[in-house]
Amino acid sequence: MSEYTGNRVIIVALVALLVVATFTAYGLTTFWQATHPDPHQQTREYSITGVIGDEPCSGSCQIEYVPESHTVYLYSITGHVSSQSGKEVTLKSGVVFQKDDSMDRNRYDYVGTDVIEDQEVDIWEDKENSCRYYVGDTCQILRLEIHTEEYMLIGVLN
Amino acid sequence: MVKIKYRNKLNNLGQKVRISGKGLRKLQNTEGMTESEQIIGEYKAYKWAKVLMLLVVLVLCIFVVLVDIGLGPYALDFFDVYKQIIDRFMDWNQEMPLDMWIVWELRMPRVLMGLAVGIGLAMAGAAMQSMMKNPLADPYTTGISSGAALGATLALTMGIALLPGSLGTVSNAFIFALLPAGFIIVMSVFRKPSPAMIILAGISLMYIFNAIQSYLMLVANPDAAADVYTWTVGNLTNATWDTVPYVYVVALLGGIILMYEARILNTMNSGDAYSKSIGINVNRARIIILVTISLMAAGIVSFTGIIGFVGLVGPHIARMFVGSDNKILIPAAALMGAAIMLLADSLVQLVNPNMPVGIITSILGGPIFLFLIVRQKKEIW
Repeated sequence: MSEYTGNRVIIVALVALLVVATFTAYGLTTFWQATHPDPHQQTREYSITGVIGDEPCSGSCQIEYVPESHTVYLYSITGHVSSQSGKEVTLKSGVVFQKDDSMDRNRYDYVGTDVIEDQEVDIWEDKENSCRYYVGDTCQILRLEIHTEEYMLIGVLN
Repeated sequence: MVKIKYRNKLNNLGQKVRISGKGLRKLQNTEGMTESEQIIGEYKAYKWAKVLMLLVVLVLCIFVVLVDIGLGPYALDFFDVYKQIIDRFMDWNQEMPLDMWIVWELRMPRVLMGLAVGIGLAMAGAAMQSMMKNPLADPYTTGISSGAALGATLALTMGIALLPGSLGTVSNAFIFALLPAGFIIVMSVFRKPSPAMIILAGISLMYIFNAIQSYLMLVANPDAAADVYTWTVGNLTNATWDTVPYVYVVALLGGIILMYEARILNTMNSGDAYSKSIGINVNRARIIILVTISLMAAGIVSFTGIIGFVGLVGPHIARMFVGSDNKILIPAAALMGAAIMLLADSLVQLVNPNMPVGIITSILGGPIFLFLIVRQKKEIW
């Protein structure tokens, strides 16, 4: 085997080793995260009741963690509510928490505190869409209220 | 003799460069020109061909930036992202709605950080490969990655950091990344080592630092160990508008210094003996370039973790198109590295946004590098 071929074999082996090591590190991290899930990253389901206009309505929504960045906890809110007469509302928005589980006061107004299921929660109101969030530990939203001119909805954690 | 030398050189180069000077010259009318005028014309066209390739890579880079910024796990319409950016520039003082905030505060820093990282690592890699005359050299050759990993491990597992809070990991990674490079630079001052000795010293230090890091992770709690693994693989999702400028300063300042030293790098490609014979202080040049590369790599790694293969593969691909002239290679490598980095980030956003981008650069870079090495023609060097 010439020296040139021998060098190429070594290079191929080293690169393969590097790639394997990277995958191993990633696999270990993924395994660890699977066995020790971060409560911030859980998807939560909510039952929604309220009125559209004057008609009662019901539906569901989901608040899902979005890994857009590791500097904040970003969640997308998606849901659908309908009344018996066929009026529908589709929910699509988001909510952001700082890394220390607090909310940005430039975007949300602090309203006060409340107690839900023996847990003290902070109440925050979104300046953009007049949505109120009842927030417990680890960014868990236990209740949300949405007030607009067309509908009023209340979501409760399942 | 000069005419024959140029003709042979151009004939050899024309076989490798896809847009050859000969190809461009064919478009021109060469009737009435002497042979030497034709050769000079072909050489000028060959130089313009390299500039043209540089422009092609620039366009590719811009295209990848535009694609990457439209991708992300939060459901936003692809073209609505650009509308948000334009609206932001149209009214700088407005209260940003959530969609605009996500694009401006989360995606833009991520993409700009990827751009800076790709530019910095590839430029440093190109300079390292030219200086060491070694295709395996990359910005981490002097043990920078292992030093940075050790610093981050100390901060994440034991809370030992030079600065408090979130800057602790960054500052530790930066300072510890410079330790192995500093040792090699000091050694260069007193022992005047060859490129091979520098590489071997870097590998030795890498093993020492990796051993200490492994011990720290063994005794650390599992949560901290998982954080260290995540940091080690490298990702762009910690980028903010506060951190992006630092990486740009590091990458661009380092790039300016490397471009200034490009002529010397070209000469060092021909060997130390030749460089010394024409009056270049090789050891001083090597120290300056090593310090520049070390600061660039350390500055980048401290913010993003260890993103591998960009500094290794970017220069190789650029060299295939523009040759080994560092005056063209370094900017071409910068653009190619940026394109590779953002292409990898785009794939992350499409496949699994939870995946660190360093995984994708390994998946992409490893096979590409193997392919380049297997088909490598020695004339490239």
